[in-house]
Amino acid sequence: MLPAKDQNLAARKQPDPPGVTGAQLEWGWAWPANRRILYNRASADVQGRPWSERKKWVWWDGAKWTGRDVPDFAPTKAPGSKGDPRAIGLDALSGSEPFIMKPDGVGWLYVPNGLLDGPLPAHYEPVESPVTNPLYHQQSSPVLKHWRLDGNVLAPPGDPRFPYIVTTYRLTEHYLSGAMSRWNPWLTELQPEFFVEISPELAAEKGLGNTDWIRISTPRGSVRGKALVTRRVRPFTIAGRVVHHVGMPFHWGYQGLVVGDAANELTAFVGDPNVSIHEAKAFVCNLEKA
Amino acid sequence: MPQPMGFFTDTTVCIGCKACEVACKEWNQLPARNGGVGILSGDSYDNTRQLDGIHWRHVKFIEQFSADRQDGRWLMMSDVCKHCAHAGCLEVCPTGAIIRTEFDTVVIQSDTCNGCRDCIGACPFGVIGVNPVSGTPQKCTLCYDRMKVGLEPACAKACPTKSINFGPIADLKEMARGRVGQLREAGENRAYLYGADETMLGGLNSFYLLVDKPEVYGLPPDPRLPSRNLEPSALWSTLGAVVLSIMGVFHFRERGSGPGRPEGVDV
Amino acid sequence: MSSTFFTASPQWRWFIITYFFLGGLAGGSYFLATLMARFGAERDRPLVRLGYLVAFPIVCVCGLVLTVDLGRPERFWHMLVQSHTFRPMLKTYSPMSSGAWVLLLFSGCAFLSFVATLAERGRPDWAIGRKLAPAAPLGRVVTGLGAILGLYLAGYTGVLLSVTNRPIWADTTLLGLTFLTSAASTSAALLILLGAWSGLSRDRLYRLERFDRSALVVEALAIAALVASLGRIATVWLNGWGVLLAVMILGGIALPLLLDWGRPAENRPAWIAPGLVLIGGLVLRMVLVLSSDRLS
Repeated sequence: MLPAKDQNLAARKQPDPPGVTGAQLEWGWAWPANRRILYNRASADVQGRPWSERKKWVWWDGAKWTGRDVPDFAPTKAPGSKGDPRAIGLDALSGSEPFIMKPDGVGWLYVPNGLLDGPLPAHYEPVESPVTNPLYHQQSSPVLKHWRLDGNVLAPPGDPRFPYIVTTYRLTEHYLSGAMSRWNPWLTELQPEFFVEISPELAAEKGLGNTDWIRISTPRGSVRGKALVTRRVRPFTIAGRVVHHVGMPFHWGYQGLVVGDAANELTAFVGDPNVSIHEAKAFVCNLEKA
Repeated sequence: MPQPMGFFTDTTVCIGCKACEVACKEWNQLPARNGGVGILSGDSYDNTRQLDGIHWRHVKFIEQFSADRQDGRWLMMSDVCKHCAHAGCLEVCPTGAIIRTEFDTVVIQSDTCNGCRDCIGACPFGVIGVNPVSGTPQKCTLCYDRMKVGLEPACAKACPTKSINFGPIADLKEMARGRVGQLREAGENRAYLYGADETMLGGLNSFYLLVDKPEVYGLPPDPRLPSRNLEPSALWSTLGAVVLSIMGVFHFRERGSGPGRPEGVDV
Repeated sequence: MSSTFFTASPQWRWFIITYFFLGGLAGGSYFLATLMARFGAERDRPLVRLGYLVAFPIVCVCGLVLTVDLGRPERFWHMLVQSHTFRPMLKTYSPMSSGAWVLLLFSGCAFLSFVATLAERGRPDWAIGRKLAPAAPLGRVVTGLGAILGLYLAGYTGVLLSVTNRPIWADTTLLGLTFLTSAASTSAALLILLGAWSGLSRDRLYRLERFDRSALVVEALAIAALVASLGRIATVWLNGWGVLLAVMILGGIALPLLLDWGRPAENRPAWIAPGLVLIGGLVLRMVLVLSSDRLS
């Protein structure tokens, strides 16, 4: 990535020319070897020919692997070659076993341990949602984690007390929970106050003006912030009815040069079944002028 | 060999990250407004609001979305001193504090400035403001101190998308023309350069690629030098002085002796 | 939208409004005193003395007020002497620069005439004072120069406002003319007031009052021309500022004119009309400065 003193390959900003389908190999650097798609040998069949002409990515040209991406495979291992069962490392794998970081070189759909769901993606609604799952009878993931704690109450799907979708996100000017950035005056003056972005349509419905104080509540609690009315937020129309959503940055807390309510007080202790990722980006709320 | 240097800012790739604002404040050690304790402006993501004595870079956010949301864009632009080839601020400065450097940039020498603030009103772009630390007007120096030792300005160095390009003006103009061509070819016919030719104040050494009218970005459509008013104002004033002098002679001259008439029609 | 609405305010407020007003009075008083000394009669001597006695103190206050308004008052001299090279600092094309020098030179003339006027009465009894008397050769040079500098002082501040890019100010070229005519009417009013308070009889003040009336008419014409020259931009005065301006024109120009042509001179107090004119002059400058300051 830094092959010479004044060469920074990660800083390269040369895109592929317009009309060329490429891997953008000269835009930045994908460490370690600039491969853009992992296991890309799998884009070619057992004989080394692309599965699809339109989506061809990496292929065997007779002498070596080549293509639009940096091949994620031993460069001169022929497609039909056999692995050596007594060898160590990649030499044990054959020319048609692309998952080279797996001991047997193949991808697994079902695993004996690790994944609690899968193997193929399905659509589940977040555990709190204003709509019922249009695809399956199973509303949300049956194996999601729900910590049984005081106050960790969930709103049932379509609960009329909490009709709006709410999400949380970041701003460039602050960092994580803001515990560090809220002490830096150069950053706090760029984004001083906790705000909630709402559409003009929702603002009109609730009689809210730009920068008015509003209170957002969920079954877990409520926070107070200023409304930022913007057309960048657009009401959804789902199954014929209008569903509003609001968004808020989660960078504020009770200490700092600037203070404000913490958006994450609204979320539920619900997590992804495999790695417990907090479902903080999709839940439901209500709001009114504060 | 010093030559005219400046900025070409391609607003179409600005992501509104404000790294330029912070880098500038850090390099120049500018204080935050009110110690960093402020209120939400409500104006999109812009809480800086304007260029002034403690804000020498200012990122503007302009939301343009149709009511049905079928059409929309969020324009972002990093505003800065334009370092005009013919600068209004330099014209009026009575102490000689404002100078043109060997790089054709415009710099306020803060040790000479006495804070009369004529430059603030003279700037067609409203770029200058008083820095309360010095009590004098201050603005972007195009990092004159960095340029003198061969470094690029702090904002250009910090910009992650190369929206802010720094270099010799001739090179920047070529780059800019190429970029406008590229955009137009891709279908963006609203793209144009603001301040890149000599018709605007002799050319702005910090010029822009915009995709809407200047007023949309808070830029004046027709910025001009203060001196355009000098001659006409002076002529009218001189006329006034002549008229008043004649009037005075007429009223006060002694026409024969005797007491002044107590009442009567003016002749 | 006029490009002047995209600029920032220099925040020139009451110190500068006061300077504009007093500068007009100082320059105008000196100018009128010189006119009366040159073309008037012996009967006008008290007014001439008054004019030369007030010009210097007023211009001192001008310098003070201007210095205090600076962000760095201790550096006021930077406008006259370049702070790095110590050479004289002058930009003829910058009204602020030329104005600083005119203020200095006019103060010099005002001081010399002030001393000469004091010496006239023998207090102090300086020979140099008599040499500087308006009638003496040296005095003629000083007062002639001072009168011209005084006119410049009275009008250049309006030009200074226009040689910016601020709304209203830079949208017209008639501010210098307006300030000049206002200076003429207000300094005549000042001298009438001071003359009346120092016990001068009405027939001595008569010609100054006549001049004041003419000056008010010219001033009214100048203000009308100013508003017309702004065109659509004059709509920024469709609010309290416009009301104040109208009140100034009515109360500071029309009313004094009406009063002066009302009853016979002996029956009315000499101080009402000039008092209104003076207040009007201050209000005029306040409106012109602050109404632009409030924009953008």
